[in-house]
Amino acid sequence: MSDQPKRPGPNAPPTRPTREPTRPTREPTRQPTRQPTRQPRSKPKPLGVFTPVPLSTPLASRDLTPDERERQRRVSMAPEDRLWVYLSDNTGVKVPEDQNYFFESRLRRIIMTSDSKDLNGLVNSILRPGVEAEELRNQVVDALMTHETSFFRNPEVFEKLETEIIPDLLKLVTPPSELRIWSAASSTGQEAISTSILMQEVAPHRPYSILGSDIGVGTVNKASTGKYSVLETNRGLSASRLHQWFAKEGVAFKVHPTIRRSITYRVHNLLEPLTGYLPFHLVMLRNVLVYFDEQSRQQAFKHIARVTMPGSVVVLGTGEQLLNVPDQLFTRHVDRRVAWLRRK
Amino acid sequence: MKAIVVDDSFAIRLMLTRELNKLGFEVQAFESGDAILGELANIETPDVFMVDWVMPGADGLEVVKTIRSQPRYENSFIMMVTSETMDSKVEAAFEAGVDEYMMKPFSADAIRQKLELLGFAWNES
Repeated sequence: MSDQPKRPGPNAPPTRPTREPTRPTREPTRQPTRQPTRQPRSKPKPLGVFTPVPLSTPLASRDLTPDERERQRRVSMAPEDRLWVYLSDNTGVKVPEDQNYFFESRLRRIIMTSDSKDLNGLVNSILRPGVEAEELRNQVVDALMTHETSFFRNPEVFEKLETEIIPDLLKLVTPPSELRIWSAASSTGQEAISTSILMQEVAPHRPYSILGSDIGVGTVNKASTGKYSVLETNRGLSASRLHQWFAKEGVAFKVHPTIRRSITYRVHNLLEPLTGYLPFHLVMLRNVLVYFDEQSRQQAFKHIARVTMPGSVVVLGTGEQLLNVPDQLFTRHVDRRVAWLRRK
Repeated sequence: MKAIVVDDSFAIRLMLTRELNKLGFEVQAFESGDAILGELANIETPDVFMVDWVMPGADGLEVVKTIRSQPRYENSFIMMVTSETMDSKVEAAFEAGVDEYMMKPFSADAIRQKLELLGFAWNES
């Protein structure tokens, strides 16, 4: 088959690989890592930077300060627009403006289970200040973030990690020091687990640790369980890796403790600095910046630069090589569809 | 590209056929192990077999073993598509000559991803 990464399109004739008979093994087998998935997945949200917008303070416009004028403008906005502004201001995420229908459909379940009668009521509730609204805000952000992900998503990225990037980075680390990896938009954990499996396969005796972070509380909680449905394990995970690294638990599969223990999950917003960690050698930053506006992107790059050391690598998503990267901090590399940055 | 689907569930045959068609495969579907074994000498060699495990008559494992016993199909991939999820079953399937294993239920995009694990690739279109 061609070594050029491709994504299948409807009715496009597939190229045919040569079959080399495979047989079972209990060993951590390498399987042909090939093509993966589609685009979007999870994005960031900020939990701490929320600025409540008073909702019922009609003031005479002659008395309004610029801030108050802005608040009043927001109050008079449609609920979809107010939500859009909230997401934009607090998460850096831009939902396309022509996709307001998206809010209602994604939030229907929360509206039904909360005290809110409709989207307007829900937006009022989440924009109230205070801790009570915080949980609701988290639920809303979680529901709105796209969590499409799969194991070994974009296999060409994992091939590059396996053959070049990880062996190269391991030269920066002298055992017993760990290779430190950050899966910076880890969604429900598939990327962190895939990277951990790859480390076990590439350098089984080298110590490493992985931080998996995501903006969604529910997403991080789900990742922390290490449990995946058959629907999820079918996506990108070969039977041999499933067999090797997961165990059946009820109707789900639970990741092997060796893999699970290598990963720490936490909620983190990429628009805020990450503190309390030694510098990382490898940051997986895929399919997340594309949802940010330019200013937020630059902010995220600056935060990431602060927690990476010279020579470390930041892997971007397929197609994200076109993003505007701060040249004073990173050099840019692209090989076929794999894009990564090297910290200066 | 040609694919053979063997499954006693009409719904699964329909879904697999539809999705494989979308991916550019010409599909021939059989409703039982006995049906495919009866036609094995007559069919055109496919690029991939998608075989259910639990079927009336000859089961999927028997079908896989028979296919693997015939040199004509040496270059054909076999994917087991089944609700059997026990480790021992997966091991038995690989022992019999299966190349990849897809558990039910599965989503449409999982079919493509599993085929990609076998090395199939598609041009952007």
